[in-house]
Amino acid sequence: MQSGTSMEKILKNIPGLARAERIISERGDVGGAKRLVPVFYFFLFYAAFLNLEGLHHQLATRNFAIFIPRWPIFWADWITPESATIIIFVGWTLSALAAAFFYRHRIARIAGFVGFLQFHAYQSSFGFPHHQWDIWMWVAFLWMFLPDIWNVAEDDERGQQRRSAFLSVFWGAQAYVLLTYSLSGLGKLLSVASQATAGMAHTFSFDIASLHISQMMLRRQETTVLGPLFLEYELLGWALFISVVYLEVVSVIVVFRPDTHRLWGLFLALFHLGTFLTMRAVFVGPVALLMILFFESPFMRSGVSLSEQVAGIPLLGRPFSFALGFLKRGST
Amino acid sequence: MHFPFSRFPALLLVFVFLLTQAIMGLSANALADDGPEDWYPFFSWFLFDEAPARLQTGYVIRFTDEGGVTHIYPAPAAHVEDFRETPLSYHLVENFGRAVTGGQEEAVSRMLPALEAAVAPRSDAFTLFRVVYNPVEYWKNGTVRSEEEMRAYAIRH
Repeated sequence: MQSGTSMEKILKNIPGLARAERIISERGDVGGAKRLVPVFYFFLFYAAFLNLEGLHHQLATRNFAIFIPRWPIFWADWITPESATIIIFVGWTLSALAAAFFYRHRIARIAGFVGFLQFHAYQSSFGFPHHQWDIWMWVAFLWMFLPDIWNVAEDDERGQQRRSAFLSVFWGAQAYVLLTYSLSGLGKLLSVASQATAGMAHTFSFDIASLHISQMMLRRQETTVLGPLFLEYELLGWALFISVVYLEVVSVIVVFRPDTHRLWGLFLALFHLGTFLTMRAVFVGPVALLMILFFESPFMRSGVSLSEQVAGIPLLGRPFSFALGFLKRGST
Repeated sequence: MHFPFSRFPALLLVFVFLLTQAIMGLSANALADDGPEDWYPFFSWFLFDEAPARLQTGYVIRFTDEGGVTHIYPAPAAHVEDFRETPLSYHLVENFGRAVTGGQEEAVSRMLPALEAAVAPRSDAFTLFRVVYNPVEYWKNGTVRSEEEMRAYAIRH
């Protein structure tokens, strides 16, 4: 890779990239990553089929008066919204099936992405963006770039480079997903200054969880499973909200701590479960993706202990790890 | 097809992708007051970023049923089940109230039949109020800090 030498030097000077390169080359299990990619496309087909099953309900209940097609489905203006709905739902299902069956071939993954983008744009064409499938859509975009390595021989030298590229793109998907959580946390922090100086409630106010939960229940006209509990015990809600802000803000750091991937995936899944039980914020899609990307992360060492996983938790890893060790010693 | 060939161009691709996501998302959010909420399909992920105000201005409707019981909608916690099957929604009442306040008669005329149809099985009239409320207090007890009657409607059968 002679022509790549100067590029390597430039890339190694980009913050985080040298570390990412080290994780990929030293920790990456290409076999593990290869096994997870089809799981993504299998689930994509499952989701597409599930939506297709609800097509009649969609046609009967959608308010097409407010349907303004987003740019990926510009062609929907040429036909009736009902026809566009049928084409998009059937098209997504067929393209997802192709991607699930031929996931080893880039052309099928491109088809899977295009079909998915059509559905995503459709969902976001009714007056406001629909974020349920955002990260799935972007991971499908990124994974169009996975090199087709399934049929490359183990001892092929160029194959080795492609395997590294494969792991890099896989790691990119993990980094992107965690970045979205960090952006979400950053938003909660950035709003503090303006809201606090205006004398308003803000992210660190003791009634922050009560306000969010009551507003959501009022708007949805539904009592959630745990909502009333947090309205009754405001400080409990506050503590959990602050924990969530921490969890979100530091998430992107965890992509550089592969031994903590599995644990962090669990924390984020629990966070989504918590927001569902308190505010009925439904993020089923992201939880499934967290499981695919992090529960069996190909960058995590096999047999890594719980205290080693805990040690990688940003800022709090060492005290948590110490407490865990203390508890272990106490129990023996 | 084997692009991106090796881990370095692949990492460059990843880096550009992540940077684009962050820049597009953050700039779309920063310019939200002047333009779109997002630059589709990019998004800032600033979900629930601002704390809800402790005092909010909104709209409710009140009506009295045949049994003489007065209902308020959106309903507080204790009465949510009374409206389990209703086509009423928080957003319908809110958007209707805003249209009335803004003098948008076309929007009012468009939404009024939906409101009338939703209330008709229980009552032949309803009144729209603009209220100032704390969401926690309203949800728990249905109390408002202040209210202003906007308009009363008789339902044509």
